[in-house]
Amino acid sequence: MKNFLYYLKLGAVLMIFCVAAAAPLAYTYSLTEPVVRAREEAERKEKYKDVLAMFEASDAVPNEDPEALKAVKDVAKSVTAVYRIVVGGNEIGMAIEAGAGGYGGPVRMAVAIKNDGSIVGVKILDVSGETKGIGSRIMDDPAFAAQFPGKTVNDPLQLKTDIDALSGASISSRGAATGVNDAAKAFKVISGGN
Amino acid sequence: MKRTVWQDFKIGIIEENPLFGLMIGLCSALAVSTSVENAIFMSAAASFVIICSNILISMVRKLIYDEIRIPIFIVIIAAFVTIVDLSMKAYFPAGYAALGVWIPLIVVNCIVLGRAEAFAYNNGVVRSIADGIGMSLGYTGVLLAMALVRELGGTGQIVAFGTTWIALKGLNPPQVLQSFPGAFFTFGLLMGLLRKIQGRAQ
Repeated sequence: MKNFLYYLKLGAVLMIFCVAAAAPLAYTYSLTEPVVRAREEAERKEKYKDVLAMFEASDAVPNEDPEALKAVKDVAKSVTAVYRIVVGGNEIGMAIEAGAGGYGGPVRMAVAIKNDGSIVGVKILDVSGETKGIGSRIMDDPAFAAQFPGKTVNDPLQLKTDIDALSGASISSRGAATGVNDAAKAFKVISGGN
Repeated sequence: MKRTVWQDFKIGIIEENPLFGLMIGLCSALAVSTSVENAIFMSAAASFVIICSNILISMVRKLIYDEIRIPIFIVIIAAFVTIVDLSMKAYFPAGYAALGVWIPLIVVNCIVLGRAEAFAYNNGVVRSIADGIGMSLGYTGVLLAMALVRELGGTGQIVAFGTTWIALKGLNPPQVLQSFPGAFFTFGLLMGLLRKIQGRAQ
């Protein structure tokens, strides 16, 4: 019968291995973290180029007001981020990022909305969960996103009655339409709160 | 009978090939062999982990108590996998995005733990390196062969690292080879082919 001290020793040996493993991991993390962060920042800028072009603006500032974001989450679950669009010191609108529905994952999009509530554009950002050549057309075929400019956040945006789905890609279309509707709700919550 | 270092190295390539011979670590191999580029990234990541964990475990094996060897193997393997995971995320973002969860899942890949338990724990550093390299080559070879068949047969072309290497003109292939059933077809047929060749050689 092995005694208590023996088991304590086993635990100690295991702990030493764990501590020894932590050192190279911390070192690797400290090397790679800045690289990852810099690239994510560049990707965000690149991704938003088209959205910013819709506003003729040059930069988007993340809206990090926790209360506003929480209020948004309550009414529009699919909204993942809100950016203020600022030109010359004045906020002229918002870009609202949402990810909803989809076939094998959320369809991610950014919805550009001016202060008066008019939708200036919808940019589909990510369709990696959709079937290539079928659902992915929601991003590649400009016809779908082209239906939104000119509408406002107060217009009904129901799929099939107000918005046409891409034929053969109804699931992906539904995801995209849900995202736009949630973005409209989020806009109303944030601008109403101001 | 004691094997030589050369035999340790050679055995992982065909005879005890992890995928076709021992048939372990299949899940991720079937999943990532959809394209040659994925196969290259996955083989590189898995090979690094297999070889490094073999080296380290054979070095510290005298310090490990039998009762806790599995948790210690897992700590060592997980550390190497995390290093690969972080490095790929930083320096090969495209490959990282394509492989997704399969990189962290190397931690529970049977090949890595299998070689630690069956070989590195009982053998010296040099022989463990030979075993690790042999197993890695065996894994890489099968993964590349499967990816070649599935990408060419499923999409009609081989596209890797932004270049189209092979394009079959005028072919609009069925996508089945790209999907999971196609992975099983390819795996079975390639393994059958290998066994046939082996049978002839004997």
